[in-house]
Amino acid sequence: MKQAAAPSAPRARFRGFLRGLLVASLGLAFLPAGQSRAAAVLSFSLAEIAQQAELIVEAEVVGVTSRLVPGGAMPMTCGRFRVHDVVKGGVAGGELELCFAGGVAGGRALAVPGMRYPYVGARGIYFVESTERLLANPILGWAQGEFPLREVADPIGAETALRVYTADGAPVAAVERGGPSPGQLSNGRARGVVVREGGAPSDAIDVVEFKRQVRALLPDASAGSTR
Amino acid sequence: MRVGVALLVVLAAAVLLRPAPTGSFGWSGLRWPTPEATQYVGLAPPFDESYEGAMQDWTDGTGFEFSIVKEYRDPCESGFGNSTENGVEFSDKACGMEWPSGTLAMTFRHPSIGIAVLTGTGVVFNDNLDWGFYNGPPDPELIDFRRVAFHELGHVIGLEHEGSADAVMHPSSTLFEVLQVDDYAGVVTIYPDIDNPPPPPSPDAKPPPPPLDPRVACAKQHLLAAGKLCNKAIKCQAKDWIRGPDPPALLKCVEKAEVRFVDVYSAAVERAVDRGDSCKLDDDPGDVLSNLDSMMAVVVDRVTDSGNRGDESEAKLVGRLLKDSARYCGKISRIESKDAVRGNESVRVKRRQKARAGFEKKFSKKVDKGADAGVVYNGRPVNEVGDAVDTFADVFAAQAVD
Repeated sequence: MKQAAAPSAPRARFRGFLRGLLVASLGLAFLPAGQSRAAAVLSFSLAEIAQQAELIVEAEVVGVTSRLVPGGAMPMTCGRFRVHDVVKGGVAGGELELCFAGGVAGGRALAVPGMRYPYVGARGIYFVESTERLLANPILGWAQGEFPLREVADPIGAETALRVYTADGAPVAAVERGGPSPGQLSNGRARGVVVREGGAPSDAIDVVEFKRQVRALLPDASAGSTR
Repeated sequence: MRVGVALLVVLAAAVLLRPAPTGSFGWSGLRWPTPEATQYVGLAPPFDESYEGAMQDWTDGTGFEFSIVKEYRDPCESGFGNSTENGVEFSDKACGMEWPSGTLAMTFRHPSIGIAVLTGTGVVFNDNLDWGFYNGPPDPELIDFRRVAFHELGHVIGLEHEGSADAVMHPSSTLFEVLQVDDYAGVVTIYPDIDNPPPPPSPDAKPPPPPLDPRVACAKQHLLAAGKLCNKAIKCQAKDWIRGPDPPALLKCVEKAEVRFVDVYSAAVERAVDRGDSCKLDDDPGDVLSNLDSMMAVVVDRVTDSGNRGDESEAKLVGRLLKDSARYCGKISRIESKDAVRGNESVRVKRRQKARAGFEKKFSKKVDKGADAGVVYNGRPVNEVGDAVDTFADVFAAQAVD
C-alpha cells in the first residue's frame, strides 16, 4: 500500500472540505479520517499513554460497520483490526474490534468533532485504553494514542519501509518520555513525541525502531503476545 | 431529496463564493440552515449562567444567534426525530458509552442524513471530574468550566478544531478565554447569511470574570448592604447632632436606610432561592437588622458619650466625628465584601489596617482641632470608637461568610 506524502495544510483543508460535501451528500458529514486533533482532552505524555494503555498494537483496519450502542440509540462505528504485532498486552485470534462514538445506524446520524474513525486499509500503531469497556473512544488520549503508518520508498535504494507519523501527519523522528504538563489540554500529539515539521516522508522513524523505543517506555519492557 | 441536494448546492455555492477567509479555522462542512440555534440549558447554578454567558459571547462576537431556553433537554436525543432542541448536561456517561481517560467534554452533532445541515447538537460534560471557575493558567485538580463550554459551543455552531492559529477552537484552548479573530473569521465565513456581523474581536479583549458561587454572591451583597446601612444610619445621627435634635426627621432618615437594607438583603436571598441555593444568612432580615442596629448604637454611644448637645460647637464636632465613623463603617464593610469574593486574607488585613489608620488620623485631627479652638470632645477615645465600628463589620462578616 502506497500513500502520498502529507499534503500541505491549505490543500488538505480544501480537499477535506470537498470530501466532506461528498460524504455529506451520500449520508454523513464527517470524514473517514476525521480531524486529527482530539476533543476537549487532557494532554498525555507518551510514557503515560504507553503505561496506561491496556494494549499497544500494530494493526490494519480490515472492516468497518456501524450499529447502535447496545441498549441505547446512539450510532457507533466499529472497526475490525487485523493485528500484525503486539507491543503490550494480548490479542486473542489476531483480530480486534474497536468501536467509536458516531456514525450512521438505525436511521440516525451522529458526528463527534475530533473523532478519528477507522477506514478499511488504515494501518497504524494503536494505544488502546481498554478492549473490555465500551469507551466513546477506545484510543487512549484520542489522536495522541494513534500513529498512522505509511509505506515509504527509501530515497537511495529501491526498498520501502513502514514509517510512523502523528495523527495530524507529521513524521515522527523519535520517542521520549515527555515532561509534565498538568491540566493542559491536548494539541493532538502526546508530549515526548519528537517530530520533523515539514520533513520528507523518509524522515519518519521506521516502525521497528518506533516499537523498540515504545517498549523502552514500559516499566518492565515486556513484549506483548499474539495468541 | 431534491430539496436536500438543492440546499447542499446553495450552501456549497455560498461558501465557495464567499470572500476569502481571513483565518485558518477548521470546518467539517456542517452548518445550521440559518445562523441561529436554540439551546436548552437545565444546568445547575452557577454553571447555567456561565454556559449562557459563553453563548452570549458567541452571539455578541460573531452574530450567530443563540436563543436560550432555561429547561433541560437530553443532549443525547437532541436532533433526532423531529427534535431540533440542543441540550447540555453533566453526565458520568458519554451518551451510553464510557468516558475515555482525560476527556473533559464531548459535543455530539446530528446532521440531517443526506445533506450537510445540522438538526441538533448535544454537549455532555464529564461528571466524573471536578469543575470550577477561574481565569489564568490551568489547575490540574480543577477544570475551568467556562473555557471548555466556550470551546464546545464553537462545535455546536459548526466549527472544528484549529491548531495553527490563536483560537477558542484551538484544541489546547486552555489559554483562550475570549473570542479570537480566527473564531470570528470561521463563523462569518461559514454563515455568510449573518446580517450585519459585528466587527472582529479586539486582540486585547479581556476574559470575563469568573461567576460567583451563589453563597459568595449572597455574602457580598449582604456585606455591601450592611455597609450602606451603617454609613447612612450613623450619618442620620450625625445630621441630628449638627443641625439640632429633630426626632421625626431622624426617624425618617434611619427608616429610609433600614428599608434600603432590607430590600438589598432580601433580593440577595431571593436570587439565591431562585437558583436553588441558599445564603448563609437567610433569617428574617428584621432580626438581622435588629442585631446591626444594636451594634451601630454602640458606635454612636461611644462618640456621643457625655457629649453636651446644648453646646453648639461641641455638638457639631460630635456630628462630624459621627460622619467619620459612618464612612469608616461603610468602607470596612466594602473591604469585607470584596474579601468574601477573593478570599485573600493578607490583602484583607492590609486594607483593614490602612482604613483603620486613616480613620484614626482623621478622627484625632478633628478632636485636636476642636481642642485648639476650645471645643472639648467628651466622647470615648478614638481607639474605642474604632473598635466598635470594627466589631460591627467583623461580627456581621463572620455571620455572612462561610
